[in-house]
Amino acid sequence: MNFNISRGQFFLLLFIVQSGSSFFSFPSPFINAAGRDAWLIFLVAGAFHYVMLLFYEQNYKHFKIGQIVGWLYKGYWLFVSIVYLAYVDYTLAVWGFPKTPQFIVIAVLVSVSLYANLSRAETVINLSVLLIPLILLFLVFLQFAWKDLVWTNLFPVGESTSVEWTKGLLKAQLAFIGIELYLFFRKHVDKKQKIKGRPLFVYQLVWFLFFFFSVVIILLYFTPKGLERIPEPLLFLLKAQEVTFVERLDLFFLYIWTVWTIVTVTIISFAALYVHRLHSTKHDKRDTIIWHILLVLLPMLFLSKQSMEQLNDLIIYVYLVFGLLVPVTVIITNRRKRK
Amino acid sequence: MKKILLVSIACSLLLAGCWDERLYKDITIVPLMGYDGEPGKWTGYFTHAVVANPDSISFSTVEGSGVSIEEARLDANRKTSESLDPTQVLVVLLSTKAVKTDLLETFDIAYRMPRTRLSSRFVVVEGDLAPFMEKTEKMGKEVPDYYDETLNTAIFASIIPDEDIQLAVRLLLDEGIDLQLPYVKMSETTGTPEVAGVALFSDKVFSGHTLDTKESTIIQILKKKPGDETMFTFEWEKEGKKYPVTVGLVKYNKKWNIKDSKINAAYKMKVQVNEFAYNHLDEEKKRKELEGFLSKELTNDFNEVIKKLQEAKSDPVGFGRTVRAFHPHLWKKGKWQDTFSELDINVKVDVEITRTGIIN
Repeated sequence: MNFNISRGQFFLLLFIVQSGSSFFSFPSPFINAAGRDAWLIFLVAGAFHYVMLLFYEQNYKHFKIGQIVGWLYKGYWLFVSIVYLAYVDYTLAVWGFPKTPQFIVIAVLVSVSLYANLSRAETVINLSVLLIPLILLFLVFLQFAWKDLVWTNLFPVGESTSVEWTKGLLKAQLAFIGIELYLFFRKHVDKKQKIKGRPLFVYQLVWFLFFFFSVVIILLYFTPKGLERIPEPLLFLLKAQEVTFVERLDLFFLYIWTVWTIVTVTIISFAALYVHRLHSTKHDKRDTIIWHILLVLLPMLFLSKQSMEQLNDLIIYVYLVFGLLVPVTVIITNRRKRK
Repeated sequence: MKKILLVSIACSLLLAGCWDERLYKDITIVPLMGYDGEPGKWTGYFTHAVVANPDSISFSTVEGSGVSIEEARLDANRKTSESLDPTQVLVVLLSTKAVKTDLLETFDIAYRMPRTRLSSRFVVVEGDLAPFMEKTEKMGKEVPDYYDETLNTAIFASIIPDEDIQLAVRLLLDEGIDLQLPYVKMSETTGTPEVAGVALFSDKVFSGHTLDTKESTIIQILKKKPGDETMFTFEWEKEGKKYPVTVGLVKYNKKWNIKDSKINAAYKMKVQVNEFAYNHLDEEKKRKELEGFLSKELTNDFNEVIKKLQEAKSDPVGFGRTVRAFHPHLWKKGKWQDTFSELDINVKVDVEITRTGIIN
């Protein structure tokens, strides 16, 4: 598949995939694991994220995968998409559509991805633009909670134990998922545009501030005991805001997050089908349709609370394999071969 | 193919929510609820809208009982022709007996159900709950509106805190601060419910102590969360005659100095004089004299309130939040409510008159 993207499109695509589903699902498990020092732990996790980006930028040319690794990545992305779809569907059932048959909700969500992936590559790449104003709106509305924030919640510093630090750093990886797309799409970025140095740092800063803001606002709003009761604290925080023009602000943002997740799944599907086409050029349409049928059917197996929690725990370890272990192994192997 | 798919997607979006629609013809809105009882034995009162004809809406109250507040609602549901919908409730009245048990456990459903309105308010009422659910002639409006507007007026006048359910539960979950809820009594003169101050909570239950309207206003100032208007009236004695002085808070700042087991809290207030028949406020000497008088009176009142809080083992001001954050040795002494009750707390108020309006 041949396509060229600009630097802006590349970073936007990466940002949407990294923040897509995890923005709502990440803060609660992360802060519950990390404790009151969660904001400090995320500073360290942020530094690690930048190191990973630098490593990817330095070595993306050596990341050439064979058919087996390609199939492994397709399996990984199928798993990630299933987790995201099951999670968004479960959350929609709890918050918005308790009686609507869940397969219909999933089918509607997946049909957007099917349409985009049957179209030209540009359709998927430019779909992310749709989210820019919505994300800004989301951040603006979070400011309504300003009067309810308790700044002493951030203190005392240094309360978290070494176990909490370890668990916190592990849970912080939820915000990293999707970073591996860097290795796949970096070579399609317009060669005239510079990525190394300042542009990469700016991306790191945007990613970091976005997640750091979510962690800090939740720490300031909820006490640790309060947070234990709320699985989607950001959504709850929005629900608690009273505005004159709508009864439930949370539903409005639940739909924004749903769109966000749909776009994320669309991009992940695009990546999976892109890798698929590297080794198999026949039956493009058929394979795209099969992929999306799997996306509708498989999440149906994981729509209970227990399955959700298990998947959300498991996804971190699966990501560590495909975001860190496999890329490092492939890059080192290819570099050795070149020597 | 693509066109068909696009049209199908667009059409399917229109169908979203068909299964979850809730029609007003099937439900009746409950804007006021009341709960009395204890765990395992709850009685709920639900004031719901009755639409006899399109032009007039009246309210009726139905009662239900059960082991939980939700079962009480389901029981009451069986006694109405439409399903009771508490998602747009404005006020929840609680008897003093009901708040003697863990409020968080009982009302968890009101906090965590996605459909509930978190901006509704808890109110503690004195004595038997049933009379508070009834409309009296002097109310001048329907019962739910009466409570809603009375509470908003009290919030405006800094008598009660601006606390909705979400904030109330967050305070219950915060170990460094205690909850205070509006306290409503039946007026002896008018026979209608009136805001009498606040009910103090210790940890997660009602302490049994209440504060009157002046004392509860002081709490809102101590906490630095006053309403739009904060007024105090004193009597100033001069030349053998008493002159009423009414001052309004313009702005102020607080400074807490916490050391070992001692808290020195200083409040510097800028006030405007609204009522002072003695006049002569254009003279600096008289102004200073009045400022000294107000500072002394307010210092006494503030310290009296602190004593009452310590007796109730209740910290609605939130000293505990600062102690937890910056004084771990004091925080780790034991349960905060016990530590708080034994602290040496001194409040000093300095008043500066910055506006005298048209009074000279």
